Amino acid sequence: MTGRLALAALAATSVGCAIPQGTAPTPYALLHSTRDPAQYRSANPRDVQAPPKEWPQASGEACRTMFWWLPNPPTPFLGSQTAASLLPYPSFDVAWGNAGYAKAVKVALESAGGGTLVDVRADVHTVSVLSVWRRECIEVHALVAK
Amino acid sequence: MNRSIIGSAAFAALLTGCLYSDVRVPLSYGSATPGDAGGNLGQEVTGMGCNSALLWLFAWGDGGYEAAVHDAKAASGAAFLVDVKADTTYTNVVLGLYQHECTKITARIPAAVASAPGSKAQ
Repeated sequence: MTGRLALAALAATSVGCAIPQGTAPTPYALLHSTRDPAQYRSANPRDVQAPPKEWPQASGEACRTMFWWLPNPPTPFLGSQTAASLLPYPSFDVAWGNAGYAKAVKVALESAGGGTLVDVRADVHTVSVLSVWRRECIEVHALVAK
Repeated sequence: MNRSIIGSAAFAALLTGCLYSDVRVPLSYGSATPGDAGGNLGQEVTGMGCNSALLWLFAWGDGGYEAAVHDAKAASGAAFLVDVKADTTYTNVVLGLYQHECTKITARIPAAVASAPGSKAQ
């Protein structure tokens, strides 16, 4: 009897475990293995001890790929995120790739032969076909200090 | 069942870029500050990059920071911009039948560049 009460108490306290816990970017993620940009406090020109007269430029990108079903369009415009949130059906997704700042910066520095990136501009380049296939790339453009 | 699927598909078609999208949107810009120019600020320059969408089906353009900054720097010849302000302009016609969104950069150029021969800052 005591054992049953203890089991019931355990079940009552762990009822929240019945609900999937997580912070997946989409609620219907079948498989999500990505690295995404969060923050990058890049260097400024005054951080360079001997600024060059001519600043070479460098760029790099890091990408992630996604498949959605049912179709889920990208939301690049103001308000389109709201429209997408009203989709009346679940949209399952599979996503993978490293689209973090670290990789994009590494690619840029490798293209420049090393140094420090200064005055960094970062954009998200999205290509989507039929709202089913989507590729998002973090593009980094910067000046290079050797 | 069929009606709900058709309804869902019709709703999805109201979203921007359902068939094809190729756009760039701004993410971050670690811009230089007036201190990077030794406090000597030159003329103000502006630059813009835009995305467009038509009929809820197609979206295209380059509305990212790089395009706007490149546009601003092209007019001045400056290596970098200081005191940068970034704004978004948005035009939406008839429930998104046509959309146009731009990233506009307003900034100053370092004074040394402003006074350099051949500078075209306005």
